[in-house]
Amino acid sequence: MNLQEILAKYSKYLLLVPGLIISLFVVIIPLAILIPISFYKYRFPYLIPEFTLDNYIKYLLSERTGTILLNTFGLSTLTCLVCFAVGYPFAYTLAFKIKSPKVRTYITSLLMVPFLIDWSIRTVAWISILGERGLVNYFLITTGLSSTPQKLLFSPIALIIIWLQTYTLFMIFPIYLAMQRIYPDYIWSAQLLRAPPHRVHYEIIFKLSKPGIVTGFIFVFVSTLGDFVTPSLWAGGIQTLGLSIASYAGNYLWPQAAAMSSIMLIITLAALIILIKVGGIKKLVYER
Amino acid sequence: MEESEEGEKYEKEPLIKDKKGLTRRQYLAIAGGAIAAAAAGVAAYYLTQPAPKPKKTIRYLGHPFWLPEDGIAEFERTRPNVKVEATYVDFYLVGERQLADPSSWDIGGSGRSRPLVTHKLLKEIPREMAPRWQEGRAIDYFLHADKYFPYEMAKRFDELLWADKERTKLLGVPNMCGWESQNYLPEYLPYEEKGDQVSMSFEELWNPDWKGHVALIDEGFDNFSRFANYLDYHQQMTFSGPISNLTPEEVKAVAEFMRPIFESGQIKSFWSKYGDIVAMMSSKEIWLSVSWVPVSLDCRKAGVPAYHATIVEGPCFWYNLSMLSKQGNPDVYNEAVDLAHFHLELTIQKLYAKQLYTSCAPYWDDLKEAMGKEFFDWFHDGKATYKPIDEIMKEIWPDKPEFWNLPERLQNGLFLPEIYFKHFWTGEPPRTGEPHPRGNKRDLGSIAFKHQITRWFLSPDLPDYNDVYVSKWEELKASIPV
Amino acid sequence: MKILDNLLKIFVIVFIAFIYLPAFLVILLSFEKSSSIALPITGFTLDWYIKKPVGYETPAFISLYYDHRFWDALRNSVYVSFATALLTGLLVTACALALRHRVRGRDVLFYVLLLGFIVPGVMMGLGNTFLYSMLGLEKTFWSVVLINVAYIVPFGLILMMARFDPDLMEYEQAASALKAGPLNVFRTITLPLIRWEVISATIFGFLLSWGELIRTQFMLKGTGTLSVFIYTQLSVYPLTPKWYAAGTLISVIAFIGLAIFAFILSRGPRSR
Repeated sequence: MNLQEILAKYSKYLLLVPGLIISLFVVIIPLAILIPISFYKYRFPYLIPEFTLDNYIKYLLSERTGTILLNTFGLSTLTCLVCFAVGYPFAYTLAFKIKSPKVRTYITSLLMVPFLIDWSIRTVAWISILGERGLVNYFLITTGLSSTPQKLLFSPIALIIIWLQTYTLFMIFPIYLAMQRIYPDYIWSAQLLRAPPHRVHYEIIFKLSKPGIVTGFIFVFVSTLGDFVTPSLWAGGIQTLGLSIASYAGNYLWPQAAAMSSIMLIITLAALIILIKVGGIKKLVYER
Repeated sequence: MEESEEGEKYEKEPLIKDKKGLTRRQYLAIAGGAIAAAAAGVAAYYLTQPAPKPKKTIRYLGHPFWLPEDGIAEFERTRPNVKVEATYVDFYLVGERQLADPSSWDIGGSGRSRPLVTHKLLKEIPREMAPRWQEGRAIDYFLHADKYFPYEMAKRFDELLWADKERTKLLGVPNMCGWESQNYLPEYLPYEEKGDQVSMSFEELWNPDWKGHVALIDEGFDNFSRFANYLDYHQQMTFSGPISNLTPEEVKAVAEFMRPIFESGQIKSFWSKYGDIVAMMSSKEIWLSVSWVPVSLDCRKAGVPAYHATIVEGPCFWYNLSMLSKQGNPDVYNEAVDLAHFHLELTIQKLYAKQLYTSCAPYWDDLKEAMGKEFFDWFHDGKATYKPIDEIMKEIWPDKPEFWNLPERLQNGLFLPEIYFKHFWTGEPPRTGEPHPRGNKRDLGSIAFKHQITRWFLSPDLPDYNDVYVSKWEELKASIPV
Repeated sequence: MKILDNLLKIFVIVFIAFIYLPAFLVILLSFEKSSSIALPITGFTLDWYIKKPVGYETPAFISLYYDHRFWDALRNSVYVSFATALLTGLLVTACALALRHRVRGRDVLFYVLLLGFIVPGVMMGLGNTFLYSMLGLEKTFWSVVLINVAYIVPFGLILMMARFDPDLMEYEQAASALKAGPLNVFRTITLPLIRWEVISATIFGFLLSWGELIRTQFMLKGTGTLSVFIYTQLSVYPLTPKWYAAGTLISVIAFIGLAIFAFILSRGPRSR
């Protein structure tokens, strides 16, 4: 009895402990090792443990940094918007227009299957579709819509298509879940009160699914940031920050990689905080 | 505080009386059961995972490219008291793991050993322990680099391989090597390869006819060195030291030369995974690329004629090696050296030969015998095959009659050594005869010819000012129009 | 409105077709006779699935059935992904439930937990390798699982927190006011109401760790997971229809597995 009370009182802290311990050992401590390294001097191949801000300053002042940061965060944001443009109607249809729960479950499961095919294998299939001798160009040329093969493959279009195919699932899922939560009563009562359909939609459905939308944005944003190979290989050599970090690390230039990584962390964290505040995720859950 | 009777009563009944309550419970039970089963499976796996190790265990950290599983199986079969625990990671992550945690591996494969050498993390191997590694048996560079490379480059070469100037102690045992330039599709580029003969120039890479169909490997060191080699050969720039170890100013100068090429959109793809560049060339999206020798072979397998070019400016030499970690387990030292040396034996060399990678110590009788004279001479001395190429087409492509009547220029680009010389792998007796005037000759020709035209080596080195290389490479890529 | 409804349904079908287009090509091209991985198809064969190997082939040319490395890697992937999914589900539920209350320093804790998926994979892998090196630890199956969990829990956490029923806490408080013990409350009220979120988080955990490459490679020992295996092979060997066969096989297994799973799920009560 007493034990139960004690448990009840401290359970909220206890519940966090396993997560925090794992976070400590797998994330915090390794970060604590890496961040000092970002301040080390570097003279190939030695890391000289003398404090220097060079890695940061040189990077931030370099002429290519602006382009790279713009590419990286711009592409990710663009992908979020495109995935949203596609994912929102999809989630809406799934949640409200398809009545049978069985069909809904099957569709959600259907969406997951291609995801399990390994990324490299799935992506190469796009050569046969977007390439100069692929399906799209074949269609364009035989129907006479275009006289020469379109160069779709090594361009940002290919990148958006490939990312759309891979990450829309991450957008659909949260929005669908959020929409599922909306009480149909709200909608019916609004309709009863003769609200025009677009207002019903905007005021109720859109606003109430906002946490899901924001969650989708976060997922797609973070995932595309972590996928640095696709832009470089399929989009015409676009250089992103993730690729820079990987190539510096692969060349044993660890202080620079760590410095760039810290910068990436800060920007991403800032973006996340903004998204979370805008989406009111914390508000929804905390304010009770 | 005492619990009232009421409270007890409430606790015993479920608070939600629902007809469906049972289903929900049942469902939770199923889920819980599934989870428990999975957890049990995981626990069982984990508990059975550390296999009993009465034997000596060597920890290998590398890639199956150097040490395939079949090779390990053969090694363990012939050395019954040794077990090899191989951890394979991506080619490009191997080095990072090796350097970050040198105590976690005993033997490793490498294509970029400079950082390990400079940090003195490699265990020395006395030359006697690598019996195949002898004068006249190994590729000459390894024993006499100064005969082939300019002084400072030779010095860098020797530093990576030998622990001492007298060349008595190795820092690793080289396993495979080769010469490398660029791959092209003769259906688009009007060239061909005919053994000991130069075919094209490096500058085809920025020929506007191939705009948007050119790919480069995604590494600064690789590309800057090749461009420096070009500029040095044509005397457009002078370099104070080896072209594979430029000063920061020289890197910037080379990058400035390359910038207009990038800004024009000439080059549209940068590959780091071998499979991707093969996919792009074998689907004819890319016609010319700086890439590894077997790319042309894999294109040929897909029915696309491809060549590895003998460029005027000369290919680069490269080799890969197996190394021992100083912080590895000292108990398995002898066994690890044995494994390193095992790479030079026939089992593994048979796998390397499929991709036309040369053994670092090829002049041994067992290899000569297994290859047979035709293959061995074709492979190392650039001699022609005993059959003419049009007959060979019928043999290699029996169900593709459209290949039998192609011009020889394309037919030679469809030659597959793996099929024509298959006796090497199946054990059948080799062909007899004499080199045919219209026989096929291997791309880049004989080793003697390659010795003549090769001016620099790539792997396993890394330049001193690697940070400048990397940042300049990034800058170049960032200047490509989106 | 009917028109709009129908348009939307068509849109759903079109989009699913779009998602399946590469998968469809993968399945189609797995029967391609030559080793080319692009259209056009030159012939049909089952070789890439079941042809007996002759000897000395690279994995790209060994048929699926005979490639024991593939099966080892697949098995590893299943183990790792299951373990990760389970741990993720548990941790995410625990953390999300805890963070609802006004715990002190809640904001900070929330963002600390989120760090896991913001740190670039390469750095996480490198940092952990340094840590293991410093502590002299050997890497094990659990090293891989833990690094995956640290990466995936934030996904699940945000997913759950975005969807918690705002009335949940009121139900719970009502129940405890009625003298229900905390465990009972959890079992009968909380869990059923957050059931979908927990399941989603677990599924997400499975999916994400299935494709996870970079962190895994730093922490693995011995045979890797399937995605590591394929990635490692493709870094030095060509893509052949054999890998398409692998993709097809995985799709088929996943299809069947998910169909069964969906069937079980749809038997339970619906939440609107």
